[in-house]
Amino acid sequence: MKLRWKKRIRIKLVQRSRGSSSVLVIMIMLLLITFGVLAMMSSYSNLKIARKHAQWTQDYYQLESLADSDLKTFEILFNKAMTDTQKHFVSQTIDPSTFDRMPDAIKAKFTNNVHALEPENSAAVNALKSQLFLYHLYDAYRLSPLFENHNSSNFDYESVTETAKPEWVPEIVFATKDKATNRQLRVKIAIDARLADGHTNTFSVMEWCEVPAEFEYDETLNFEDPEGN
Amino acid sequence: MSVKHKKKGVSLVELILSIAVLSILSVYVIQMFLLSQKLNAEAKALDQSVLLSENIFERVETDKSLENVYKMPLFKFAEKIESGDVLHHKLYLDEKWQPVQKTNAYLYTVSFIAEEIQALEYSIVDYSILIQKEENSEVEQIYEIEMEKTY
Repeated sequence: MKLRWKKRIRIKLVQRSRGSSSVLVIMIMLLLITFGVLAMMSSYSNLKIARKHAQWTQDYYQLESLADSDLKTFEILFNKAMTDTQKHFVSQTIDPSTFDRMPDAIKAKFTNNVHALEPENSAAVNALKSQLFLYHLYDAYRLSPLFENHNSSNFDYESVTETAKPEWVPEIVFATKDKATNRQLRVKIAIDARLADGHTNTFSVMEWCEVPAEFEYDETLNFEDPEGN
Repeated sequence: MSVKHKKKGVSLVELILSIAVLSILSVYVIQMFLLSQKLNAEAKALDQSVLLSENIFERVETDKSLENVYKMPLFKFAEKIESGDVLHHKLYLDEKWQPVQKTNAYLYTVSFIAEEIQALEYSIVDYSILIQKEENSEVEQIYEIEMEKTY
């Protein structure tokens, strides 16, 4: 008996079309809203990525400007060291305060008047010139604000004072840091230390790249309204 | 028989009601799609502006005289304004980001300014790029970027 009634109700429900249009409208609306929300979400994340990239680019060129300024500071130190070296060799005198700070190895060579005894442009004189130049550069670099960002180098007190091998290329690495964004740009400079006859010292930038920072993906979903929208 | 037929099918009232509900809710859905389209266009314009700025700055870095910059097709119809230490170039671009003359219909303007801010022992030049969208006499800033070069 009960089964028969159940069967009748089921047949009636299936056969009736009343309310079917409402069901259809709800289904269509749900579908449209779903696609609308998906489109909105993808556009919003697109815009967020574009804004992040734009900001990243702005910050990068800001950092590059700072690094460029640091490189100019180094160039000034470099030229000053070269001028000082040449000046000392021409006048054969050294400023007493500079002489006092000088490493004993170079001091001894100066005291023994190597540059006056040896013929001009001899290997010994050129080596002394290079050593004196590197010492001047090292001394100026160590006392400059650039040294705060000093990263690493094979150009230290010992290497300057010891007799350097001809193939040795002194290198300085410093990292310019933008305090506002905490981003760093690594600059590696190779110095040509030979001060032979008619040879002018140069330096070349071997590396100019951003130091990759640690990065973590934000795993939380963010539904904030983008700025200005 | 006729009574049975009346019970089946969709009545006119139902049809009118569903169309009414559908049209009312469609307004919000269409708004959603339109906003999505606007956000996409904004993102595209920003990306394009960043790309354009990077192209100009990378060329500035290679050459102080800006010769490499002037060789860019973008600078074909550039308007040059020079006053003192400031060198100003204004570019006009259409909706496809192609250079056009000022007299033609343009949508975007790019201002490339080079200003010498120091010229003592060494010179410092400040380069800036400002990209704007000009539509229906309304000006909207899209992107601005700055860089300093020490020479």
